Amino acid sequence: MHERSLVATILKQVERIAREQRAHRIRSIRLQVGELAGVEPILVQSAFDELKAETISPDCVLMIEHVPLTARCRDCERVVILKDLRFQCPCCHSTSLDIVEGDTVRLASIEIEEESVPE
Amino acid sequence: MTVRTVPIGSEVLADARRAAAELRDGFRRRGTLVVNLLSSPGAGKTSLLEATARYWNGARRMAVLVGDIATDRDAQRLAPWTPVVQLTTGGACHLELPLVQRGLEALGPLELDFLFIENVGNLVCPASHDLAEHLRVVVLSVTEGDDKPAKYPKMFRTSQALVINKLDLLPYVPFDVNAAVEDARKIQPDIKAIPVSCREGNGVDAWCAFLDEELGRLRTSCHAG
Repeated sequence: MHERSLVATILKQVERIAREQRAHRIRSIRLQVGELAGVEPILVQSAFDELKAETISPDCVLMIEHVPLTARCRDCERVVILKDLRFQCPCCHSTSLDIVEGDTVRLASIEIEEESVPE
Repeated sequence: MTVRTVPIGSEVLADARRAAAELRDGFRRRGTLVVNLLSSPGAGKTSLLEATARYWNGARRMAVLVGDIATDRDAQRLAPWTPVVQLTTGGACHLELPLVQRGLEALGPLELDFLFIENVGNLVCPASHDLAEHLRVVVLSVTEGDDKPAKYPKMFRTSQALVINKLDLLPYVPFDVNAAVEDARKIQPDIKAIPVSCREGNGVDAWCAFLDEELGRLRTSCHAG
């Protein structure tokens, strides 16, 4: 349910951008899904395959990149990757961490087709 | 025909996040603390609100927006105690900001100390949606098992307080309060743990004192900024 509404939001944004760019077709969408985004990529993909049929580009391809959970440790001040959603600095074992990346879903880019302007 | 890549790089929920931040700031300026209550179904969110309203007995101005997939049973339970608006999601497993905004319109203009948003019972999706709250509180009841913080890290990571409810049932279930709190603190070291029994009333005073403290902090920040 959550993934479906997320994909609907993404498609709405992408179609608006494509219109602004005067594209007549969207070839592909590149999405970055953070480890802690609370979103399951497989479900995003299947919701996308279902919902794209209703868009201007029913053969559009979705590429999902996984973004690891990254934090800055308040104690040793290193920027570290937190594996398996374990909220502990792998260097100094502190649990005082500020998340810097990997807790959101980002629309990285889209690939569009446009009519060539005649010279 | 030419093919071109358009870089975007924006967060998909950026608009919703911005709208939530604006609404939150508006509540801060009016001195209203917004509390988003989350839990599994049946952990006792509504019971906690009933116990809170009973404890204050009119001494604090509060209102509740309560989310459910169907029925207005929670609103009926709360109506004798507090202004309340039921939000029915029609199947959606969490509340989103537009529903909250609709609820606020239905509530009408009120001068409040506390606005409680009782989310749909679910430890997963509600964690991903900012409802303009200043305080996110997760309610965990002892019958659910002490492994829930470890199993639902996002929910506990994004919460500032953990209310452990149904303490009166502790003699009958294998739930280790310390283990649950310890697991929650591995995920969110600053989480405030408040054990309560909504049915018997113990711990409700500590919970209400915590809310007052948070309200005081919000209002201090209001004068400072």
